[in-house]
Amino acid sequence: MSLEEITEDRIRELVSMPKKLVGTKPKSRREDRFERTDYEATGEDGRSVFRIYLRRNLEIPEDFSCGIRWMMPSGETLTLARYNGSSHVHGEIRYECHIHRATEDAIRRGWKPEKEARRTERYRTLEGSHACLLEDFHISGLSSPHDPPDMFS
Amino acid sequence: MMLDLAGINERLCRGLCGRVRLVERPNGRTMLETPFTFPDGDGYPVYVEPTRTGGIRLGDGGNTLMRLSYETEVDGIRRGARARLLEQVLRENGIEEDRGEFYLESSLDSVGDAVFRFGQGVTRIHDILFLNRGRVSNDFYEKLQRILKEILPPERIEEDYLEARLPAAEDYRIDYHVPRTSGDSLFVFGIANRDKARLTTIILERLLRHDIPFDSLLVFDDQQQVPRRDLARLSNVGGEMVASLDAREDLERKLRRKVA
Repeated sequence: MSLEEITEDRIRELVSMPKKLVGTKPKSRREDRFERTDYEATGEDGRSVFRIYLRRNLEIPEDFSCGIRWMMPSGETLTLARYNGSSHVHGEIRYECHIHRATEDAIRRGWKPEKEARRTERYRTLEGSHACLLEDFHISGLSSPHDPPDMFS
Repeated sequence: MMLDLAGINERLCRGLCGRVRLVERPNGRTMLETPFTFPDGDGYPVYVEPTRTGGIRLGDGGNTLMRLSYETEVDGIRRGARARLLEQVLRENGIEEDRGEFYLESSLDSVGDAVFRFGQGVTRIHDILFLNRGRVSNDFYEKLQRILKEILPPERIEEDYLEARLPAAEDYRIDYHVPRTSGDSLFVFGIANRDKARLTTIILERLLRHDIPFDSLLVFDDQQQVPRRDLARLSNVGGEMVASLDAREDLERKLRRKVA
């Protein structure tokens, strides 16, 4: 199956499929101005491979991101979701945390599959966004703390 | 119908001006908002600071390279053709790099021009780092296909092959299959990048595990771009290799010998 053939149903399947961390707890490393962590997870079907990445700008706390990509058998990759910090705007979303998600509509239009984004209050930090990703994508073998509710927003 | 130049000019100024502005953030940083966006819809983060000479500094805060790193190793753009292209873009737009941040400095009088140059520069940098990688990859696969069909009769080559004896074969597609007179198969793989190297390793391991008789030929876009460990794992399960399509004579020699 190629990227162009991905449907909303297939995206939902990939999201809901239980996944497990491959290997041991991932280590972070520094690259110039940011810190990166990468790891893989496999789906319960034993074949599907997902790459999860975390990035943190070491000088700008609001600039962080964590995302999950599906490594397609065709050799292409599909970013299923990316959980962004509040460092930038996205359309009408102004300096608020937001979550990009792959949609069939974006794929059909020839856009970046994850072009659609919605604002969120579920997290404020990279750790919080990672906790949301692990939960939303049913990834086991790793944990991350959710951010406590913001009492002052 | 005549254009209302004055009217359109006024709308252009109002429209464009309205979309470029400085914003002071609660964290104390000043950001410049522009109409420039990345393909995923995110606006370019542009951080603004005064310079010691009374001018203005526009910087990306390191965000462009951080974005690149979502899908690839940043080191990969420090070498070869991509590094040369990057240098050219930076030079042409008056942009510099400081520890992973792209920035440019300008006088206040030239700030309008600076905004366009910076936005244009980041767009071109992004395209080189992302789209060029895709374009280079597609060019490689097209070129490989053409060369293979020049060396062997096209009817001998099966593309995007599914090995029927392999369970879930559709998830382990083989770039090219060339049946041999000995009865077994030659599988040819094009390796454009690290991801493809890893996928090919998985496919070859699966073939071996299911005792399927085959030989393989691995053709790289640039073997040096594949990290050492990925190359080591691939070489354990794969057959002969060709480091790049520049070695066309070697590719032809190896291919002919394997299908003779």
